[in-house]
Amino acid sequence: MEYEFSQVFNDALEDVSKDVKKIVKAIILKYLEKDISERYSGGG
Amino acid sequence: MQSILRKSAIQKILNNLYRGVISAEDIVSESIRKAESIGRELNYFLLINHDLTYSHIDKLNKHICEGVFKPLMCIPVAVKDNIDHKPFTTRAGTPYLNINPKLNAKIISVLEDMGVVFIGRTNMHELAMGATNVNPHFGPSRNPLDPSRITGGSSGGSAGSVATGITPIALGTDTGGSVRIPAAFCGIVGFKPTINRIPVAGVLPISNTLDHVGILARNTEDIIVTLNTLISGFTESVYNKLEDIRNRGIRLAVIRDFVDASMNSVKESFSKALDRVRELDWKIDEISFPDFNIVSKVRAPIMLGEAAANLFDIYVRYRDRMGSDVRYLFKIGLSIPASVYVMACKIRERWISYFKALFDRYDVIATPTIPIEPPKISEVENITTRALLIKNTELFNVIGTPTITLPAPMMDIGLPGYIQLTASWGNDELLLATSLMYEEI
Repeated sequence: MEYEFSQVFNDALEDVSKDVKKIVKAIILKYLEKDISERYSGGG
Repeated sequence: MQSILRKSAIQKILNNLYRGVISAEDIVSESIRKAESIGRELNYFLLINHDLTYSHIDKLNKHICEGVFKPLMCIPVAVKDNIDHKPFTTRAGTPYLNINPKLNAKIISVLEDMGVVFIGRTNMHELAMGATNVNPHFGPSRNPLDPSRITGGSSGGSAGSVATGITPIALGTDTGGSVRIPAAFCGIVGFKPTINRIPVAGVLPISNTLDHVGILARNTEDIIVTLNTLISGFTESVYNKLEDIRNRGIRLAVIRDFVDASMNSVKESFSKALDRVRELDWKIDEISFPDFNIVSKVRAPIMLGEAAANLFDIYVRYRDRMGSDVRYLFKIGLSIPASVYVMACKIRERWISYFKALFDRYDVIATPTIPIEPPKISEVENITTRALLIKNTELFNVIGTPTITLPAPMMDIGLPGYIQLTASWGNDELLLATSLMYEEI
């Protein structure tokens, strides 16, 4: 079962890595648009 | 209430029932007959509910004889296949799921108490993870206005049931536009309330933070009548708001990015709809949403990450039997880093703040519901077309505002256009009052 689960994730990533990279890049760029003080404010 | 409900198909049925012009059996038989004929032909139903329906009629006749009238007595309703309704199995448009619900979804229990008759379970996009309603296992549901085109989805069978008059209302779910898209393509009204205003318990979950239960009908009045059974005093609140906006007018903002990105025929229809509301002296401004082009990328980790977690065991067990589009979406969901999911959620918080500020200045925001015409069934393999279907609707799942689609003037291809209106969180009554006013034009 353990093998099957890791295989599920490996297969998934292998098939979609290009699209995932595009999503990740777009989100990180958008997230970082805000000034660092705004991103870190409100923390406990 | 009868005097103010002028267009309501539900009210017409109830008036005829109470006056003895038609019987419970007439209403249900007619609905079942249509479901078996045009409903089968256009592929709207996965199950037609004969047994329950006729046993139900006996019970309803008994109530009528005893003088007990319920608010939705004998009203035929179609239910999307991902909503729990005992004793049926919840299959969510798949041949491999076979979930026996222990409880009814909240909306099913309420509507059942109000006397509705559930006619059947409707065809949908597999697992509600897509907007075409081209189901690889049960076939596509076909657009009632042009059967070579899609209904849109994922509540496509529910939209078809209403558009062809099989049922006056139908239940759907909406995670990225799945009520509004098929309603728009089929020329009817589709409403998703503020997130969680209709409980989603008892719906096969995709996304904890994007799923909504919605209602499809031929006019806004029928949506209001239905919601009134769930939310005490709802109809009265809507009509109070209507009086208010008739006196003071509406402040409407059009997001031009959505309009600019639409096909010409969609744009023209939308523009004609705006010309009509100008006659009502609504104050219309154009605004911009600078993040318009990144919405689908921000929604992807939220929706697909949550879906991959919620339905993980279903994916592991049945991935080889899933349609290739749905399998692909699961793979993206499984591959998104948790850190990116959190960043997407934080971007969502910024958007909520942005729209909160907008709603200080405007009552309602308008966009075309979908940027393209209903595609031909043969065209939806194209991934760009599929992405365009949800481009204008998904933002309002991400931020969770109440949103409705209404028919707009005809497009060049002879099909109705569509306008989408959204209001601030909790202002469902204001939104529906605005829709009533729009329909009066």
